[in-house]
Amino acid sequence: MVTHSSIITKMPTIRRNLRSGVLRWTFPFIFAVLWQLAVDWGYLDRQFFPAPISLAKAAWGDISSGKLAVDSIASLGRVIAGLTIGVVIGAIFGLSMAVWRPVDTMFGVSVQILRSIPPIAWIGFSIIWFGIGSRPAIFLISLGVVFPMLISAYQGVRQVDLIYVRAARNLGAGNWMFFKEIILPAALPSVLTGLRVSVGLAWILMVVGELVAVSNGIGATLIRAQDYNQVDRMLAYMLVIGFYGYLSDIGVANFTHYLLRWQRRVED
Amino acid sequence: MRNVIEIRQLSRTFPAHKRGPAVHAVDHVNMVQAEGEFLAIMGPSGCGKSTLLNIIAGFDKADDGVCLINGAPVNSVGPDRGVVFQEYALFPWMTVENNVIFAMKAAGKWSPDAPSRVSHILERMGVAQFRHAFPKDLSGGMRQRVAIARILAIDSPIMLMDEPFGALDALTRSEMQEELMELWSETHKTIFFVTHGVDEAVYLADRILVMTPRPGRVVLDLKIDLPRPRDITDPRFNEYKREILNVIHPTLVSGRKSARHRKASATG
Repeated sequence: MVTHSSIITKMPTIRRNLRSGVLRWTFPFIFAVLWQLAVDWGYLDRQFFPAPISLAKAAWGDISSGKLAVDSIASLGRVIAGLTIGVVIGAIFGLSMAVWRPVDTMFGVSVQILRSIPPIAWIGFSIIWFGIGSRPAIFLISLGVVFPMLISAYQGVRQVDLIYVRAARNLGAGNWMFFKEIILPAALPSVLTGLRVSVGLAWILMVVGELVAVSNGIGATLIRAQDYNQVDRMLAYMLVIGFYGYLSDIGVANFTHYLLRWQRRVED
Repeated sequence: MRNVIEIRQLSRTFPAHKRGPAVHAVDHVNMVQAEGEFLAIMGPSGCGKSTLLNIIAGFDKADDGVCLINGAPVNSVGPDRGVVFQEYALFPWMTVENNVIFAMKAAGKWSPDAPSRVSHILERMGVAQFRHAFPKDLSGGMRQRVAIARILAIDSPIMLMDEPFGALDALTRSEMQEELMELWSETHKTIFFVTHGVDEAVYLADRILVMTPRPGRVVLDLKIDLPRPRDITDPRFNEYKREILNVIHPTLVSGRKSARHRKASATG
């Protein structure tokens, strides 16, 4: 088969990785330099566009004081807890609804209505029900990821190729074996797409969840910096969130790549 | 010999839908197949040969008439009728070995000596060196060998083959035909072989049923009385081909004749 890698000239892997690594960071670096110069030369107002060097100073202050670590651990804990709850519930419901028609009929309308409500709209009830602290934030994150997860698990099962169903039944597979060995792996690509979307959403919802009712966390510090007009810290924390989102996406992508190593890919 | 498959007055009509009128895929078909017989069903596309196979396998239901396997009506899909699909239908998330192991477990044929049987069958089909590979890494011919190994492993007394070599290149196809002949003479399974290749049918089968489309009917029941292994350059081989082509593609046979006539008159 003619594939991508046979078209691109082969280079030693290390050199290729190094080259793409340098290329990857070239644009952000040039952008930061231009930005710094624009502020230094007075084209941009410091009050509205804090320059990279002052961002770095703000970030360094919070790193050396340990504040960033405390905030990161608090937020990460909420993200992990919320994700776990939402992903597990979403996957269980999605799979059950796809496999059993009565379950689909019973919950279908409710799911469609509930998933159309933006998670932010639940802020009020999250506090009324869960008080202050981490729990309302975890609730919001779970609520936000449960539906994308449910839909992708459902779609994954519904789109299993008929030929695998026929082959497995023809070989005599019973219901449990059929579900575990055929339906689940066949639905896995879609489930993992749902997981990737969910992880991205979880970081967004973390900030929403920390808008109110918590004393620490990346989102909470961000909101407070806004209140005190600490523009350096605000932007530094925003970039930290972006960076964590980027790292966790790489993690999910690698995990997916490993689990789906049986799939034919462009780069094979 | 005992009849293994018996079909009487079988009809299957696919109802009209948006994109087309109703199709009489199978129309009052009668046939029997004896135990250990190699029966080829052939005809142009749309003649209902695959529909017939799907009904025997239990994937589809007839609208009218009966389909008996060992005297009992077909009412389920099962490993007593192992299917080899044109698209191989290997489970892409399982290694070659695990595809065969899954088949044996699904069919309830797993026993303490099963692992050595798996090795033996992979060896027999010439795919032992790929046992830990995923299907995506195999060529079409190798995939079909694994699919046959899967059916051998569950020891189905009846093998239903749905244009199994249709997607292979000419060279691989004739290799596979030879090997299938060897396998059949060793095991004498009852093989129901759907094909649209005249040469393939005459080379392999004890008996050929020729079908024509719209409505799908059996128009010729031809016993092939040639010793095996068959010589495809034997004049009698050609006689059989002509007899079949006369039915499904009369213009092709007469067209050749008239071409020869023209040539004769031009030179004479």
